[in-house]
Amino acid sequence: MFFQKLGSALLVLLFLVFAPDQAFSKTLKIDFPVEKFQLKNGLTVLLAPDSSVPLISYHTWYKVGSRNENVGTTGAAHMLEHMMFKGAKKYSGKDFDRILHENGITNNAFTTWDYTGFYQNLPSAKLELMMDMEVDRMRYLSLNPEDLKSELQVVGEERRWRVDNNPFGLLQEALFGEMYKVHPYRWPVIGYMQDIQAYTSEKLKFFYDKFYVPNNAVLVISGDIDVQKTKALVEKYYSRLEARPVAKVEFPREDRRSQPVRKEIRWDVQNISFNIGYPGVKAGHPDSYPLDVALAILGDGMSSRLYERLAYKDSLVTHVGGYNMTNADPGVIFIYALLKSKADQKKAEQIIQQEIDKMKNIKVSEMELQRAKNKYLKGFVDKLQTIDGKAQTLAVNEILFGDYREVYRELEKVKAVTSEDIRRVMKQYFQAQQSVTATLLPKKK
Amino acid sequence: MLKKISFLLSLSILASCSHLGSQQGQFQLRPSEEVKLENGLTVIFIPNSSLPRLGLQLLLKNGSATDPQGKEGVSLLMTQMLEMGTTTRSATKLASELENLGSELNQNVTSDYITVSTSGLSQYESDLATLFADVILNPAFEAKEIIKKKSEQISSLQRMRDDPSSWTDVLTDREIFGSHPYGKLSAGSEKSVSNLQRADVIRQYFKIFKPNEAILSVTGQYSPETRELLLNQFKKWQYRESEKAVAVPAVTNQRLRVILFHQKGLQQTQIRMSRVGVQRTDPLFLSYRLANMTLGGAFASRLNQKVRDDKGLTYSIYSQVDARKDPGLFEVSTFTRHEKVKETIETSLETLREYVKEGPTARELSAAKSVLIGQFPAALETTDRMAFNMMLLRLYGISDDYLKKFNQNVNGISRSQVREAIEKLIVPEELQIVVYSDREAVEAQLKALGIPLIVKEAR
Repeated sequence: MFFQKLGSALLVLLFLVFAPDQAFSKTLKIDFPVEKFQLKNGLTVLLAPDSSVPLISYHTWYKVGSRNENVGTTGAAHMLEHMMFKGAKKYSGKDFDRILHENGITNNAFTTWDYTGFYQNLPSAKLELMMDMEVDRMRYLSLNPEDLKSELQVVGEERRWRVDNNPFGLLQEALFGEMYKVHPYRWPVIGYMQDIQAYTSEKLKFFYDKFYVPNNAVLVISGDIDVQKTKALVEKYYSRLEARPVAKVEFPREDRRSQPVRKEIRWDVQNISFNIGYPGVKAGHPDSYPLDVALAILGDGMSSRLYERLAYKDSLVTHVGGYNMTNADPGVIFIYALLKSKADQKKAEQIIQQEIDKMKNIKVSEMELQRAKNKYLKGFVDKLQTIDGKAQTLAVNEILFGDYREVYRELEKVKAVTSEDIRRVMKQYFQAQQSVTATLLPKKK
Repeated sequence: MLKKISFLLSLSILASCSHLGSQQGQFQLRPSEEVKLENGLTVIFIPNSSLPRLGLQLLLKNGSATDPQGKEGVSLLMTQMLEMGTTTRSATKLASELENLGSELNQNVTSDYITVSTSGLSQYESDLATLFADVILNPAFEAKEIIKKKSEQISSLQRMRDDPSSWTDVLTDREIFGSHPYGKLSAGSEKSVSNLQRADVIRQYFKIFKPNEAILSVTGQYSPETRELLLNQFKKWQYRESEKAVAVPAVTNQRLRVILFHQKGLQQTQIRMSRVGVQRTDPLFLSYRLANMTLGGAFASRLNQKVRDDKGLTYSIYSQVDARKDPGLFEVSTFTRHEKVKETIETSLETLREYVKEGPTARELSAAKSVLIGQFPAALETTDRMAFNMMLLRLYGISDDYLKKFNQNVNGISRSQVREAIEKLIVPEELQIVVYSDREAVEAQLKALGIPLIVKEAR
């Protein structure tokens, strides 16, 4: 045996779902079989068989994101993600995309602050080919300087498209630049243009060798698979890769601000938009669950408090909302508002503050609490509709918590949130002097 | 952050077959049932008990193309008003009741059709079914709520201009389709929406919301009681005579030209190369899909390889075939830095001309078939997707054989059929090249292309 079995279970989720208008609750049942094991080289593998369609969703995620970069090399993780499509030893150059295409496989990838993910949707008969291709680029990536030269331009265009020519991209970059002063979250995942244009194959090779190793990756295969045969294939292909130590890094903690910060961007836009950020918590922090519920009550949907006041009653905004962004390190709690023409920003901000203060001082109703929990559960069920949704759900929990079963515990923790928890986290995290407000304004005429 | 482009894959284009594999690698058609009510409403049931989730979708067979002259945007306003209350539930009560269940209402208005949908936990199936029926059958259209929604719609119209990519699409539709309904935004214009009255909204509701011109789908996990509840509610919907469709003059293609829409200060140039293409009912539909896949429908396609991978001119380039009731657009969509506008247009045109001249190689055609067939089950992986595809086929009057014989039909398409499709679809000398950019940065390059150039103000 080349792998260590870490657990296998036909997990039957039993949730009590509360009916807001009724004095009883019902049990919600979801079957979701998952098998987890680890190869000797440290690769963590999750298998989730589901033969509802003859397809497989194949996810390879690495624990590396923009937080692993340094000043002067921002955007390295994202740049490397692009270069992963430029061929390796066996499947070189353009062969990678061509062979996937000829075999009816679609593929893509993404980079975040904390991790990088590659994923494919493949006909179930193509599993072995997919493994061979992923193993090849996990260890033997080409990083050809000629390919890099052209890809630097591609990523430059991506940055212009996402940020430099996109007012909402500029707004987000401005907010993060103020929210974080010492942590690497302060720079954008895509990186700054001057760093993007300065990458060399050598710089990226260093990054690749450091982080693209089996013991720093999670492989999730969901869909039309035979578990035993798939395990044997994983063993056959991935066991040949060697583990290398990945240094554990402690990232700097942000100091508390002593006063609120405001940032303005002028652009050729029609109306004002603004984001307010408050320092948040990291994924899995006990307060992240009451914060999720609080943000849903405050700003998710037409019956949320902010929508009712700002959009419905006072007609100041077209969109308003809030969400709790949790990362591997402490994230950001956001409130955003898109104002109508000639609407008064000051008034909108005052109303937001009033609604925040109410939630700090008066307990939310049981109805609001249950509504937020039902939305959370519905969102969870929605994600499980597709094999890709299942794979993503498993991968993100395994990457962030080292245990995919956190997804089930998370539901329990959300269910346990009380109105007193909401009041406490509102008081603790929504502190005006800790806030950053970034505003997008029309250019002065 | 995605490495590559997210291709615009409309489900109507992706539509493939519906299967539920009971054994590894094997197909079985997912069972569905179709019922026709006396009032003419078609109801499709697709049960699936794998998750405790109920989906409800209603497709209306007319869309914003029916907006009267001067009242553009009324279909969207009317559909948005469905969430603003019924005759027995105020806007806030309705929002609160729906969200208490963890659900929300979704509306989508296109020129050809409208959809209204919701989904929820099966625990609340009867409550959700009751609310959905109330929303569809008993909208209140209160005057004070209409004022609010009008104001939101106008602000959204203003905001559309802030996104260069979306705004280029709007400019392109206007340029190609002119006064044809496809040239108008479903949201209307600030002027037309400002003038809309309650009577206009109600009139549009009765014009579009007719059981005999609608399809309801019920999907997922639901009980026999909920099925009966829905049937009983929708039986009450009153039949209304269909109106005669107003004939719209066909849009003709013009000679190749460049239209530069000037907007000072843009940091990047958006480019669309388009012509009027084909209808959804065109018998060559699958051949168009294969033709498009090789040209610009995937990462390994010719446009992406040449313009992005070889030359690094863009982050995203793709082609698409938008087949609708009337011929929609064949379009190549991309963007680039200002100094590379000429090279990007030239390389794209050269790729298109070469493709029209040579057609796909046997290997390219085989690859395109592999992708269409290989990814075919994903389009119908969920019961909601399957229902939506079945409703679209009924809208366009196409048999379910499109789904049932998909693999067989794709496999049977010959290279000469694809070449015929290419010749009909891609005519480089008829492309209208819409460029949204800063005039000072790109005009000289555009003149140097040697293609007739028109310059317009973007706003």
